[in-house]
Amino acid sequence: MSFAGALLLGALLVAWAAPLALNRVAAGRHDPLAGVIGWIVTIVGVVSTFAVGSVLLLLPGHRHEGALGDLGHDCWDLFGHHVSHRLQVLMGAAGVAAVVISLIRFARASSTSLRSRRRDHGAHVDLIGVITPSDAGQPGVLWLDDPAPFAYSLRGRPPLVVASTGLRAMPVAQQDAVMCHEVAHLRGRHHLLVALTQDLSEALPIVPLFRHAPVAMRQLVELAADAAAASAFGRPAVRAALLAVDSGHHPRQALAVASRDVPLRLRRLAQSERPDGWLRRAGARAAAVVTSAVTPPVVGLGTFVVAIAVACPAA
Amino acid sequence: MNGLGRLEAAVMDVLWGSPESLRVRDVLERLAPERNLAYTTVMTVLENLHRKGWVVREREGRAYWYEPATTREEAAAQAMRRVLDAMDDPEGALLHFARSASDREAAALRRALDRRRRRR
Repeated sequence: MSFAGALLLGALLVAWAAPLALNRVAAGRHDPLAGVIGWIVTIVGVVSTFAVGSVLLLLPGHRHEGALGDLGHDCWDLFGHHVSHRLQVLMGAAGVAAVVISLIRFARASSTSLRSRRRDHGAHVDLIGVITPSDAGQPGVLWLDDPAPFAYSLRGRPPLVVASTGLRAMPVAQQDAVMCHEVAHLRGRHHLLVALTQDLSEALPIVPLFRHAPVAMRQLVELAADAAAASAFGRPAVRAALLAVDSGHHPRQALAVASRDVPLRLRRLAQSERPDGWLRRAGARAAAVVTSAVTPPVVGLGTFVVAIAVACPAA
Repeated sequence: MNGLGRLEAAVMDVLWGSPESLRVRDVLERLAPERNLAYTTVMTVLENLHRKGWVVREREGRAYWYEPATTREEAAAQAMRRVLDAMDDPEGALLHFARSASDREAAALRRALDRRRRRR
C-alpha cells in the first residue's frame, strides 16, 4: 500500500458511494447549479485521481513518497504484507489500461450521439430553410403545426427552440415561461451537460457514479431552467405551463419542457421560499467545487491512514 | 440532405419560385440585390446543393441549368418526415400528427394508404 494505492482506492470508493450523497444534495432545496457543479467536478476528480494514482504506481521511484508512504510500507512490511514492486506496477498498468479503454469507449459513444444530434438538428434546420427561407441559419423558433402544446430545444448551430402552434392557445405568461425555460437550457449549455454524462454512462455503465449521472443531470438542468423561468415570469406561470404542456414528442437529444421529473419540479415550484441571494448561491457553488474536487484523494488517504492505525498501532 | 444553410435556403427559394431551370447568373440576379454576392459564391452554393441532392442540373453548352430536385411541398414533407423520425417515439408522434390532421389532410392520407395497399 502506498500513496498511489490510496489514490486509486479513494477514486474507487467515491465512484461507488458519491451518487448517494450527490442525489441527497439534489433532493434538498439546493441551488440546482451547485448540484450540476458537484456532479461534474466529482466525475473529473474521480477520473483524474484514478489516472494519477495509476501513473504514480508505474513510476520507478514512486515508493519514496515521504513520511506517510514510509509509515505505510513499514507497517505492512511488519505484518508480512509486503506488496511487491512487481504487483504495484501491475496494478498501475491495469489502472492506466482501464483509463485508456474508458476514454476510447467514451469517444465512441460521443461520436455516435454527435451523429444522431447532427441528423436531428439538420432535419429541423432543413424544415426551416424550406418553409421560411429568410429564417434559415438563424437562431430562432420553429413552429410546428400541431394542436397539442409542446416545446423542446436543440443544441447546434444555430441553436433552436421548437414549439407547437398549440402552445399559442395557452395564456401569454405561460407561453413566455415555456420559451424562457427552453432558452435557459440553451444558454446554460444544458444539452451538452446531459450529452456528456449520457455518453459517459454508455461508456462505463458499471461505475455507479457514471451510471447515475445522466438521470441526475437531466433532473438538475430541468430544475435550473424552471428556476430561470420562475424568476422571470413567476412560479405560478411555470407550474401551470408544466401541467398544460404535452410531454410526448421530442427528439432523444432534445430537452423538452415537460418530459421529466414533473412531480418533483411542481413540488419545488410550490415551495414559496424566497430564492437564495447571490452570495449564498456563490457560496454553495464554491463549496460544491471544493468538496467535490478534494473528496476522492482525501477519502483515499483517510482510508489509508485509518487502515494503518487499525492494523498496526505500534508503527 | 442535411442542414440547409441561410444562403442555400435563399437559393432554393429562388429555384422553387422560378417556373423554368436557371443558370448561376439567373439565380444571382434573382437573389436580393442588397446581398451583394459574388458569382463564384452562388456557383459554389449551387454545387453544394447539387452534391447534397437538393437540385438537379443539366449541361447546355458551357453552362449548367439548375432546377429543384423536388417541389417545395415535397421537400417540406420530407423534412417534416425526418423531424418526425427524430422523435423519441416516432410511431406515437406519427399517430399523434395523423389524429391532428385536418379532414382534407386525412382524406389525402387515406388515398395514399389505399394506393399503397393496392400495390402490394
